[in-house]
Amino acid sequence: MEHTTRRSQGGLFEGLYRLIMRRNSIYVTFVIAGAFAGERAVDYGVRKIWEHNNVGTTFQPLEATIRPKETQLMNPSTYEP
Amino acid sequence: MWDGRICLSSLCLIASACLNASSFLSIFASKKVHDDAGTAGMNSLRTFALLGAGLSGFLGFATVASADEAEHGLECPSYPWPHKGILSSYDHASIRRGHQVYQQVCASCHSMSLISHRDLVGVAYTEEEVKAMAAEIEVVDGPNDEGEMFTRPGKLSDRFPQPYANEQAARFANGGAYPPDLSLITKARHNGQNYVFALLTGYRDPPAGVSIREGLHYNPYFPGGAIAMPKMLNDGAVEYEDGTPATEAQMGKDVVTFLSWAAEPEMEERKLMGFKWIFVLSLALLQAAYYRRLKWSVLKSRRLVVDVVN
Repeated sequence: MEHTTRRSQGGLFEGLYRLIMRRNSIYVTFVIAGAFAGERAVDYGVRKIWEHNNVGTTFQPLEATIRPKETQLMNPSTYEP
Repeated sequence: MWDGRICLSSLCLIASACLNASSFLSIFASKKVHDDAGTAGMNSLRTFALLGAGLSGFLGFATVASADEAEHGLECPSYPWPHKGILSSYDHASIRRGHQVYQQVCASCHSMSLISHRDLVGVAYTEEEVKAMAAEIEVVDGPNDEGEMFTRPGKLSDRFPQPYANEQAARFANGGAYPPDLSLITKARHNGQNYVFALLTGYRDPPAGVSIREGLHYNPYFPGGAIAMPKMLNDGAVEYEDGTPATEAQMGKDVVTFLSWAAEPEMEERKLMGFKWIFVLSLALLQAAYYRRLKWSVLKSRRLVVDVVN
């Protein structure tokens, strides 16, 4: 008896329930939008860890060291008109 | 192929295991032991006997299993490849150097017919560089309007050139041995990356008593020990574009990294995907466990009353 009156006063889960789970349409929208946003966030986070773990070995730093002018000289068809 | 000494040692171990078991069993056979059979002391003695017999038997089989060098070649060590971890990418500078080694050292005999020039773009070279590289080779193209085949300079979409027209030509030029296609070699051999590196750097003089016939070379990592390929990686054989000193080990590392990329170009995307989805699914596991326990809590917390009338 006592624990039910305490719970109805507040708390994080109570607040979340009132915000999202009162109506089913809002709940479904939250789930779908949350999945989309959550996947983008996870992709971003994993890519950040990957780049931190692989400093210097990916293709981008290598590309920066390649001098483009030499290859243009070898192959005249790449000259812009 | 049985090695007589290995067979004998395994037989000895199995015999000793049997002797252990039988000696303990003969103790059990005596009447006094039967009377004591249920006591704690006898139980622990029996477990020790069984453990001893099991261990001796297992060791007997272990010596047989590990004595496969004649069949599988010398076991190769595990090298610390930079792309070995769960979130480690290929070293793309190493892929570029490895391609250079392949072109200058290996391509004269080994084909890589499943790799196209366009695969190198964005991995080891820029698009202009690969176009220039492809333009240096001549490719036979389909019938023209007159119905004749013609040759043209290569494009990005062309495969890597093959050194021989077919397998028979390759065998004829290499004393009957076929230099295998290297497109998938690190996946096609057990423990491929370590095996290829150990093989390329593992040429040495045969031990005393082992003779290799003319035309073959000794390599302990090759099953059988006699390989048709001579030692190709020697210090300074290649001059790297980026100035890295071309030692045998450096060339071996670079060419194996290149071959690993060629066999598994999707590795980086695969690792990213695997990490992401294992993370997401473990969160989903926690949610599913909570939901299951929530729904089952009604049943798990019920009280059953047995109301029996006598």
